Amino acid sequence: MGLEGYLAALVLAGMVVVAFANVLARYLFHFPLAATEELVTNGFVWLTLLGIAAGLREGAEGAHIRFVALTDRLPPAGRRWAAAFGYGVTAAVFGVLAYFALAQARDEMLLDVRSPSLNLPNWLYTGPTPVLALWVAVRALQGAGRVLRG
Amino acid sequence: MSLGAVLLLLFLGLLVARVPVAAALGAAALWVLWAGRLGLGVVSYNFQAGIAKFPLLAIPFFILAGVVMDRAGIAERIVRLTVALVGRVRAGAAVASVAVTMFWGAVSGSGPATVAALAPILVPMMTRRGYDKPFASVLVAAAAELSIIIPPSIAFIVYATIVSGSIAEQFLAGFLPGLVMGLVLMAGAAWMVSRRGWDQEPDPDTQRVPVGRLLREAFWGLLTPLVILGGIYGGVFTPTEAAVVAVAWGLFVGFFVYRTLRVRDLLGMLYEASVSSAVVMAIVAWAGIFAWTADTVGLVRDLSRAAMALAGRPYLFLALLNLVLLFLGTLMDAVSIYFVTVPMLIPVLHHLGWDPVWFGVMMTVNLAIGQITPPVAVNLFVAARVNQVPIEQLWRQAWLFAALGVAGLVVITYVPWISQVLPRLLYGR
Repeated sequence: MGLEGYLAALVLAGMVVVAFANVLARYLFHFPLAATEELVTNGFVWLTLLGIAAGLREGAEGAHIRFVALTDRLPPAGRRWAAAFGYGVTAAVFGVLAYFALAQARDEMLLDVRSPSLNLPNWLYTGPTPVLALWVAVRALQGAGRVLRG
Repeated sequence: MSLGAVLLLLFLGLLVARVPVAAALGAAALWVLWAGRLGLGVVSYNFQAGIAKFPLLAIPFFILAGVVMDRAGIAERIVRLTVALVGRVRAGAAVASVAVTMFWGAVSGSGPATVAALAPILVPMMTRRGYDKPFASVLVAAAAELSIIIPPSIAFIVYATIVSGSIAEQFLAGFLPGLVMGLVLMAGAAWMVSRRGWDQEPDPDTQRVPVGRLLREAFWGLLTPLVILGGIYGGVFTPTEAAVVAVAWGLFVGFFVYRTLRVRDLLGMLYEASVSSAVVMAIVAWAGIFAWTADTVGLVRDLSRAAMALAGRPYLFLALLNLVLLFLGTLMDAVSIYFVTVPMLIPVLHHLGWDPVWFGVMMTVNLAIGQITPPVAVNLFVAARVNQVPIEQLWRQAWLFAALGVAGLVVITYVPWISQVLPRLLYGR
């Protein structure tokens, strides 16, 4: 399990604790922690990107769903190139996302955008996104290298 | 070529070239947004907003709940009880397997997760009674279709989010159709088993089993659907809250009642659920951007008009739609199919005055059948892997079960009452 695996587990654990605390607060103490919704939903974005990165390292070609019936008919070298191409497209897509997520975080910092319920600077939530998206892209490139080496 | 056509063809081209579904959807959308000068900057906002939705949180939480309850040994105890109860009838092992899988459908919301949890227990149980291993594996994979029809269901969470409907109502609508599909499957499996001459004598082992003790052991596990569904329909929890309560319940049973879980198991369970959730959410996020792009370039409007031309003959339209969905279900996963097809079908639904809740059930049954039809058959792949059977041996048997699924689908399509009666009773619509 790579670092992103531990981080994903940590984020998910945090989300469960906060969401469960919210349920308890609402039903036992009649004190809804509505603001926690913001923490959990933004944590979900990080969890997803970390989980995507971790999933790219599972098995030979990653855990992500793909259509293999056609390329399975290729000779082994062709199949390896197809798998590397799949990883390459993944890297490109998340690279583009990282670029625009950086622009978004910078804009939010510049314009001092605040989060709706806790009134925190919104870049605290969106700031990690470019880093995590880039992490996914790097793991995808490593995956491409791995399948090409065979 | 219009941008809409480019979007669709690029996606299909990348898909068949082994690009993961999420990346293929994303790459096609990014290309068209760039080529049409439609503004790539929205991608980051759309990606994050597509994930950061409170109702969607039910996805990682229900996945984690399923993993926890599997590791806690809840499934094993329920299998032992069910086999003891129905193991005495002919083809009892097959009937018991479908019954357990239906029950697990009320705990888990994902087909492949259900196969992973139950196949290692059910398949050896069936082979001990003389069943052939590929048949037993396909049976579990087919019954696991029910996981996305019987609530909770990840497919329903995604569908209800796209049509802006109520997840609780969508869940409820799936209950009876899940039961219908389960009974069809049970009858079909029993017939196939009898024709092959397996499992015709009552198993001597089940005669001596103390049912009372097994019932006490399984009791806490049997309460699980009551905690989840009772909480939602008692008006106590939202589906997302019910999912997090299900996690807590599973941990409670595993740590304090069965004492099967250890603190060091937590990391592995959290990791497994994180990756499974990310696999689904990667598709949700990029498919959302794909759908937004399809709408912006007018593809949704064009396809919607084409569909509308057929809507004058509703029964024919329904039949054609089912064929298209079954076909798509063999190629793609359920989540991307919703994002690609539902936006263009919504205007048609309004035009014909069809109930979106029933429609969601019908669509989902189609896509559930797609989980066992080659070439993309997630349930079969998981069944082959966990039981170490070559996937080719499963293909031939899978068609029989897909045909049973289609029989159930016809009933659910043309008798909307089955999907509508429970939501009407509870929500009075």
